[in-house]
Amino acid sequence: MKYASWVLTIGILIFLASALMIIKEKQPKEALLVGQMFPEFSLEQFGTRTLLTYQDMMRDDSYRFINIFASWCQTCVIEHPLLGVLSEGFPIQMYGVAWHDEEGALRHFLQKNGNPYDYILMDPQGQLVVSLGVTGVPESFLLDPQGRIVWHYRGAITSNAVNEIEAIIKK
Amino acid sequence: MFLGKISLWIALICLLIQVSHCMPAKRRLVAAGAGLSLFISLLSLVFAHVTNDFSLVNVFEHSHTSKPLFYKITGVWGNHEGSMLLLVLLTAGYHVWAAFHKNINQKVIQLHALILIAFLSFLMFTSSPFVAMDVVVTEGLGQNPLLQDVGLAIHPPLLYIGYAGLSLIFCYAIVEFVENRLDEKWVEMQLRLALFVWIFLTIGISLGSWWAYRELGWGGYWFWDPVENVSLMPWLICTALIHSLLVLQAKRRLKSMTIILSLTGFILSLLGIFLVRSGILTSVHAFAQDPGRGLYVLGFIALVTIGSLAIYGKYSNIHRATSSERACFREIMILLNNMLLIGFCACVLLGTLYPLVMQMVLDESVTVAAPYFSQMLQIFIFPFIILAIGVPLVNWQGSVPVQTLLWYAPTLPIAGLIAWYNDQVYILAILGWWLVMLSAWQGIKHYKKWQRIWAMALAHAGLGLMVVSMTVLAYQTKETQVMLGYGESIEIARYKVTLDKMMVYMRHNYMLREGVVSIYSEGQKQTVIHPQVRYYPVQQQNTTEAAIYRDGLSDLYVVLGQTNGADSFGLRIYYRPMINGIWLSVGMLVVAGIFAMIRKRK
Amino acid sequence: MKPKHQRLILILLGIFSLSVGVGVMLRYFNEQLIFYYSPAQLHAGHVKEGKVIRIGGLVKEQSVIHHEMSNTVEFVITDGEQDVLIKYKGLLPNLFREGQGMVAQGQMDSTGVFLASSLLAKHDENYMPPEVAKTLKEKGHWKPNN
Repeated sequence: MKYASWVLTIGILIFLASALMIIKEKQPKEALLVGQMFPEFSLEQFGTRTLLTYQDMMRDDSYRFINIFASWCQTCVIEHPLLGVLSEGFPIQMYGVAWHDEEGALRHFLQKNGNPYDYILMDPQGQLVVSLGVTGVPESFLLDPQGRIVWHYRGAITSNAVNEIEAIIKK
Repeated sequence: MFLGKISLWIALICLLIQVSHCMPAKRRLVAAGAGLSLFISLLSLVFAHVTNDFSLVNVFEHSHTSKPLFYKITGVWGNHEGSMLLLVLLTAGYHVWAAFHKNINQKVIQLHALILIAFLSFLMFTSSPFVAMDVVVTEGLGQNPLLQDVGLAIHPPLLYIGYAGLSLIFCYAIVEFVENRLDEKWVEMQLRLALFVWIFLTIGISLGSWWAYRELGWGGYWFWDPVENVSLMPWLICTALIHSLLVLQAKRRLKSMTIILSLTGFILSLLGIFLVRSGILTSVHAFAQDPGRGLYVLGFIALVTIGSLAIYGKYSNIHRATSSERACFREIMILLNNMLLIGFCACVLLGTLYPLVMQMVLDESVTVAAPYFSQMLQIFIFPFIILAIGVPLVNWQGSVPVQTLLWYAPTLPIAGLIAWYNDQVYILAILGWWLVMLSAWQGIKHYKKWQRIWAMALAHAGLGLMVVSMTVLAYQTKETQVMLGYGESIEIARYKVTLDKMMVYMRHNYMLREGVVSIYSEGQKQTVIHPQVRYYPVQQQNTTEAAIYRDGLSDLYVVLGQTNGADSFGLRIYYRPMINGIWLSVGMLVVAGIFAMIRKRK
Repeated sequence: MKPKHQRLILILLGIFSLSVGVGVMLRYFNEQLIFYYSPAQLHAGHVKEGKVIRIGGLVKEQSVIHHEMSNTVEFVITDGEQDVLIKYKGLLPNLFREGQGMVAQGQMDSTGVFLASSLLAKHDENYMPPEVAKTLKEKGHWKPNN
């Protein structure tokens, strides 16, 4: 009989030990990147193929909306109209970063869904995407005139997002 | 189906009578009543499937008019409700047998009836196969074509015969433990039960594995999938139980271990039922069901576990050690063997339960990858094999006579030679061959005691062969993927594989695209095989039928892959050396079990 | 040797091997733990590049692209919130279908694409891995079969 209780105790201890490991293993949920500076980058623009860098982007003093998307992303289509709303309704510069995309498909995508962007950058190797820690699309950032991220959203933006951005800009 | 439903109720009433002890003299009649009604119930379900009776949800969800008759019948247990009914029926089968057996105590029958009631009420109130459709339909949804295979069709009944028996082993152990009647007759009976269950568990598990090998298209036979693990654990415990009973029989010792194993086997089989049906697992095997069912079974498992532990604790002082003589070497080896079996079972249990508990408690989805289990097995298999090798050298008195050593001396060099000749010079393979040779020698030495010793020799030889096969398979397996056009070839291991052409056909309930593949070795054409991709229009699903070229104990396994649409066809080719050694060794285990069962009583 | 001594030695041996065994086992166990993420959870989970994980979702319709030269295939997995691009080298398993649930095991590469080492197209009676179903249910995108 004593065996049984020993075995059970040991078994439970093992279980607890491994449960602790899993809690340790899984990192705490990463906070959004709000408050951090936007990383450096240097990407070709869609169509013209000219390079655009972080410095080029920061040349003027406006808010910038960076939208990571792709032509192969269906969820991006859902948010596209709202991007148009942002573009037309607010004095912000719209940057689209096409991740792992190619010109033909992208052109088709923009023709079909409209083009709310002022600038479109191609990121085929994930240069900017990886330094942002982005793992899926769509994902969007709002930068203040100094280049600090003041708003960060994962997934297709909603009308809520538009309101939040409005509030930030009007401040 | 009225008949089906009412039969279930009749069975329930019979079992309630059985438990309540109001007709003890008529226990056989009552048991027979329960068994018969359950049988009728299953028959009516089969009838409904065969006659395309889509007024039942069960038939609608899992059958189709175009399904071949054989699979309509076997498809009855290819789903949760039907298989549960089958399990209950088989458990009742044991119940009837026990009721008719005069040596089995009334309390055992009552306890078993109680367990049956729990199973039956689970079936009737949460998973009835006789739920009626509320709309009229004329066609069913069909069944996953992956499940329409001979091996998988008969695998559940055979496996369930094993599972169901564990319930009787449990009852027989715990009742006689409490009543302190663990005498020779008990040991003999429990041993037979355990062997019977073990045989069917072995067959059931290997059929499942064989199915996976042929059907899943990877040439793999064991994936440490939770559902596989959950069938393996009772088998491990049952193996330990058999060994424990043998010691009990010979030396009147290891009583506690025997009882604990008898209890654990059943508890683990319950765990199997829970995992497979709780809907928490990702597996081609898992029945998709809501957690409600899972909670019920989990509660039942907890009840049984805590209950048996409590009872065991309470009554354990009655059982002092009956013999204080020094434990002989052989006995210690078997004890070690059992500890190892239990230890390995615990490892598997941790790896299998862990994701489940994490999911339920922390809402974290996590998997324990296969290498954990296989690495653990690699560690454990060494002591197992060494113990099995040691056993024929030591007798029950604990001595190692010189003549014995001399007799067995040639076995190691011969094993080495075999391994070297077959290019299998790995430690585990050599040990495995040594075990095979030792067992063969043992069988020859004791040819007169052929039933008893041969059972052990054959079983251990089977183990040895299995170890050799698995080791060689692991080290020497090869695979390749290639796109071939007509007439093009690829070389793998000692074969040349050529795609001659592709054909397309129509069958009863599917269409198929077939490759005509020729296999050459040593310049000569050996055979032509036909890997297929089948398309089942009802489910809009593809399945692959691998083509297997059996070359002695090894297989060449060819699977059709995607095509580029024009003139190039994808082929996956796997070279699986000694894979048939595994199936052969299982056969040996089963025959050994049968030998052990039919041997004359001492 | 007296039975008592015998027993003591056995017990000590047992405890020793048990501790060693448990230690080894836990080490292997920890190495083989594979976490599951939905596309949306992937980012939040802050997964290191090179760590083996599982990711699941619905295979996006018409997102499958075959690259014959390198024998790789690309497709997109979505949970309704984010889409993740997956690259897989080899022939697709036969249970793989667009619009249905799929779990991929592998690692993120340096370009942010998920390199799958194996595709788990195993599933249950309803052709949907439970983890994927759970995520979809939470997002309100769940449409049960029939």
